[in-house]
Amino acid sequence: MINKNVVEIIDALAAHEDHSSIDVLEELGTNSPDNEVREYTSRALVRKNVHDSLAVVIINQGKGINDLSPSVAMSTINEILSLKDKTEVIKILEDTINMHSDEGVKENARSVKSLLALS
Amino acid sequence: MEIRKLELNLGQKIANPFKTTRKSTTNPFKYNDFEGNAIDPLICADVLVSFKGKENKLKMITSAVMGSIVKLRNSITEPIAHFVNRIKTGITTAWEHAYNAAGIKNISEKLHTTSEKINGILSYDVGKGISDSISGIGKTISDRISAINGDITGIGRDLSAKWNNLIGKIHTGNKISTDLSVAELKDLWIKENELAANTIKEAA
Repeated sequence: MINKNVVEIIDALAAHEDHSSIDVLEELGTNSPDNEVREYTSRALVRKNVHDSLAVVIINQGKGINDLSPSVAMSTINEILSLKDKTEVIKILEDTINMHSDEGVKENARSVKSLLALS
Repeated sequence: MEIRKLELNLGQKIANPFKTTRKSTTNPFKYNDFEGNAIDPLICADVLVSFKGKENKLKMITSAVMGSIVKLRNSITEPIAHFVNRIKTGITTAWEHAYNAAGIKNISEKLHTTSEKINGILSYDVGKGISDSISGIGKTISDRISAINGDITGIGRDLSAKWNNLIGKIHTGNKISTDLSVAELKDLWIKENELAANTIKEAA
């Protein structure tokens, strides 16, 4: 079970206006050995709904939708599908499908984009 | 004629008053034992009778013999008396020497002085001193305890404030918010990770 204090810290960082909060979430959250922390951090980054935060969970191998844990990846995808404004996430998904070097990342981005189209 | 008479009488067998029996003994007075051979003036009775005119001379001889015996006895007893006197004198001298020269007098005086001091200490210094010391020690301990209590109270107050500040930052939802800087939130997150790691280690 994820620590309540960590949840509050992640929420505070997700709501923080400072752009460096994304770096902290990436550094401590998405690299955490705890699946729940990675999952909650990825969802927080998605909720920020800015380019840098969405890029962390879409284009990085082993993070967000590319996480080795299915629960983390599915939770991140569900959070993306829940976004009201999907403009930025679609843009990043397209750029990833078109320009990313890793085929696995491209495939995941393509799947998420398909889900967005169906949602 | 007088001599002949005397020789005749002296030729009679009489007990030798100086005859002693030498026996192996440790008694020095044994040699004064004349075995009952005391000179009897009656032995010379015929002489005294025959030579009535010479009674005084015989008495002189007898007296001389008796004097010799007495002198002999005195010659033996005097050294004993001298010895006793010398021993007595020696003991007295030794005591006086020890008392005056060897410091017994000083020791006695010191013992007397020490006794007075001990009596004085027991009657005043020790009792009052111990009482004062105990009172002083009690006051010192009381002061120390008060100071320690003050220190502990101050330390406890500081620790309580720091702990409440830390706990408030960590456990209070209102404290963990966007009001905190990103660096502070990062520090809190790192501390939480350290606590979790320690908990896992302890559980293991």
